[in-house]
Amino acid sequence: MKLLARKLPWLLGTLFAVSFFTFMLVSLLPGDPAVMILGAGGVSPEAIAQLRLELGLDRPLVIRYFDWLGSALSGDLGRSPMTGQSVTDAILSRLPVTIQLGVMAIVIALALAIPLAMVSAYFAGSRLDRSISGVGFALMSVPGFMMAIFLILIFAVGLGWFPATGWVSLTDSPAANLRSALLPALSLAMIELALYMRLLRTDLIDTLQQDYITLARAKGLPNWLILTRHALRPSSFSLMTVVGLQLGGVISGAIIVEEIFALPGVGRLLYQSILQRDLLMVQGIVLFIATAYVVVNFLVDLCYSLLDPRVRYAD
Amino acid sequence: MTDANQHEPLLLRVTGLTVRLNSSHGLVHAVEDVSFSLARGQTLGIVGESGSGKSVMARSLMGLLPRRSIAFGSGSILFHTDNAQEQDLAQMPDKLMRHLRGPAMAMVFQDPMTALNPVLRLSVQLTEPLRQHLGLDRQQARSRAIELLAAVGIPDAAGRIDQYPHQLSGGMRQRVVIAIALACNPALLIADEPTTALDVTVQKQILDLLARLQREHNMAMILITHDLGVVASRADYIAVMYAGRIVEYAPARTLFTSMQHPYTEALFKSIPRINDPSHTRLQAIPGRPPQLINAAVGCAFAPRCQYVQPRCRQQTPPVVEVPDAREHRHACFYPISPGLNREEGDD
Amino acid sequence: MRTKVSDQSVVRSRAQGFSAAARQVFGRGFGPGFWIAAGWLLVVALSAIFADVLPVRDPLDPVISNRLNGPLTTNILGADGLGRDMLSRLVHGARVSVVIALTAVTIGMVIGGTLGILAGYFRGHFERGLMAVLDVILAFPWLVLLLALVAFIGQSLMAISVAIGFLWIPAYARVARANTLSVVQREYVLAARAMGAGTLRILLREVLPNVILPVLAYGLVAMGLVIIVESALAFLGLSVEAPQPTWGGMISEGKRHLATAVHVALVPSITMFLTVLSLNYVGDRLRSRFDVRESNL
Repeated sequence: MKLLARKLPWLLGTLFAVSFFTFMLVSLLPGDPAVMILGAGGVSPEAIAQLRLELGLDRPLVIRYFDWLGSALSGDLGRSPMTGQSVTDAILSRLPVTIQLGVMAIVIALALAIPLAMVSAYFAGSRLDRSISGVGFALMSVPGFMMAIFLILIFAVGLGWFPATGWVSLTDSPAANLRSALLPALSLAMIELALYMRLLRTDLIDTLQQDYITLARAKGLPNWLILTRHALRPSSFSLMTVVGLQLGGVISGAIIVEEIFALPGVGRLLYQSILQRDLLMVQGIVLFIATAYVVVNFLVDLCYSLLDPRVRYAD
Repeated sequence: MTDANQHEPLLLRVTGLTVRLNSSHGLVHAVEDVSFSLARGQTLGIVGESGSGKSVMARSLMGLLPRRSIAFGSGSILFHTDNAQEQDLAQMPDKLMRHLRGPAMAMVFQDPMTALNPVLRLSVQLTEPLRQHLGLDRQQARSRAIELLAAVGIPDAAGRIDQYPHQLSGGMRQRVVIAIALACNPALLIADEPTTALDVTVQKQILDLLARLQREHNMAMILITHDLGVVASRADYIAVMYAGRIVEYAPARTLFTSMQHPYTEALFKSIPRINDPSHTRLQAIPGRPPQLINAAVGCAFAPRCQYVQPRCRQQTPPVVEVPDAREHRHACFYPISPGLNREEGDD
Repeated sequence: MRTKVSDQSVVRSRAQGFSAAARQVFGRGFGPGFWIAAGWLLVVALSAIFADVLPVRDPLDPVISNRLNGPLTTNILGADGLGRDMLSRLVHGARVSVVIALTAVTIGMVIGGTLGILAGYFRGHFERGLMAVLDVILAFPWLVLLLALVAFIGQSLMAISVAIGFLWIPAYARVARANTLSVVQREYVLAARAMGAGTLRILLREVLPNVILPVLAYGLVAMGLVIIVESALAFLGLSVEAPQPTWGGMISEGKRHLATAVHVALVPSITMFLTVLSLNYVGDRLRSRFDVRESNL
């Protein structure tokens, strides 16, 4: 746990910087929020000044930042001046959708990438390997929204197996929920899949040349056992890192995919808030997403020690 | 070719083994026309510089070369299993070969730092062959693994078994590798430079351990090394390899009393000897071992040989038996024979 | 025992020798795939440059009678929901993609590359500070950052290019820093330092030439990603404003007609896919040719 003590200051420093950056980015946006809320035409300057006072916009930027950060730490991200809704509540109510989408996407991507990479690496250089790698290479050239459109075209418009848009919550009907979540998750998964596969294949090929794999073969173990037990775990370290880092890609993808499939998630909330210039909402969501991203990657870093005993005992 | 290992039943007979590998630089002639045989309980020492094809040969005996890398292979590897049946390992599909690795033949690797899986506990790595081949259940396999660790001289075996490889010293790790190799009581143990990567003080312990285990289990052993001194007192037969070929083969004693091949002599002269007066220069072999890529014409040792003759550069010397010396073979046109005057080459 | 290598094995080894030699000779070429991809990129680039003079229809002219007509009918590649010519819109859309890809990658390359070289050369506080700032930037998912930036600096062609270019600064800074670190430790740089060469001279003469190749080699793949990023933005309606055609915008429009006229979404999708694929493929081949290390990306 020395590891934790060593890395914790870094985590807190980054989170502080992220919050400052978020606040500044949104606060420096052109346009007066008060004007935007009341509408540009025919509003008296007094009314605007009054609203600015209510919103606290008259105070210096730095003071406002620490105010905002202070309440953010206590879980209060403010109240949207447009809808009157609490930002925290808005995020929390939509969070399950985005989390389910992201988790499903990553699980699908891993579930496909790991066996494909294993086959590819085991038969490295073969026709099968080249086909798998080729498809992976092509997938990396397909943006998420294009994948979503193709999946809609085939499975919703063409075959009619899944709904093209809409969301059924898990508590209402688990089956319908899965049906509504599958296409969006799959569109996100395909891009991650290509990335994971490529990475794991390279690392597996490297691992399969190690002496301890030859020793495992010399023991007379069957190939599947060598691949799963002896080769996969030592090869999965960079995959883990990238799954963590790619969370940014998954969240970015979720913004678009939620919009395409009309899913009530955090990504769509962010997009809609940007269109409506709901700055407080944007600020809160961006802070939330960036914080989640940094924390998850911090946890991934710590998880190394679970996979690699050398790190665990190095401390 | 028949060897007179009559006192013990024959275990392994390799005939004309040739292995050529694909590499990014071209075809590697790793093993060329290698033949030898080995009886139960005996030790064959294989000596040669690094890159002489020793390890490739060892791996091809075990069927461990990656299939994709083999460009060409021929020859036979006849192996006598327990019920005295003879099987050609060179023709055996990997599915069947797998069942021989462990119970019939096992291998000890050069570098114990890389031979153990860093992310698996010793218990897993030790019990795997026991469960796979002997069908032991988890509990039986575990107690057998502890016995094995104790047998290879690891103190507190019961406590150590749940550790990871990096928690052990190099010598200890090599003992673990040996324990894994012995798990299923193989008839043949191939030790591929088992002490090269270890501290000098540990080397002798490991070699003595191997010798003791060999006696106890009546195993045959192929001991591969680059050090003629290591095999001198430990092997029954010695094969000297150069550029993928066995250039001299003899019972250990015979080899040291009447070596025939200039390369053997050169190797011999490069061993430091305790009886030499101090400050005696060791004789290094001039030049470098050949690259084995795209075989050259003539004797591979010719460029470095101090007795080289024009013929050596044009023809590959065949393996011939030494007259009146059974089991002693060499591949040299102009063997060193005691008492025979040798013409010095002009370069 | 006599040495006998069977004739067959000699023949086989010869054959192996020949094929190995052939592989070495032909391995040095790029293969037909490379040239097809490069050719496609040339077509896209030329379309972008000569969009105004090419004999295509007006991309903004709605011909109601052509509405949603399929390819090879009234229009070669069909018409969109307003009856505008798809081919012409693709050609003019290429201009947006190409300009943004070039500008954004150049911005990322120049700013990120310079920062990375300086960090790798001077080390110390500057390096630590820069890496910390980059870590903070990387803590924002790219689209989140991009949406905020676009809201900040607007939706002109230049603004979009700058915003996307900004996203690339961290990646390029890392590539340049990693390569600088390895170059600085080489003997000729140490020698130049020992001979009293000035800092600027060393940076320009010794470091830059060695860093620029890996940075440039990364450029084509980066351009492919920029095109994806821009199209995502356009798909959300936040790239260059209408009526200027963009590929992402065309796909977005095509989504509405998926059930009736697939080509409206399909034609720009395939065009974009081929372009990004070609960039990735050509970039990948060039990169492996120059054998640039991919670590530390």
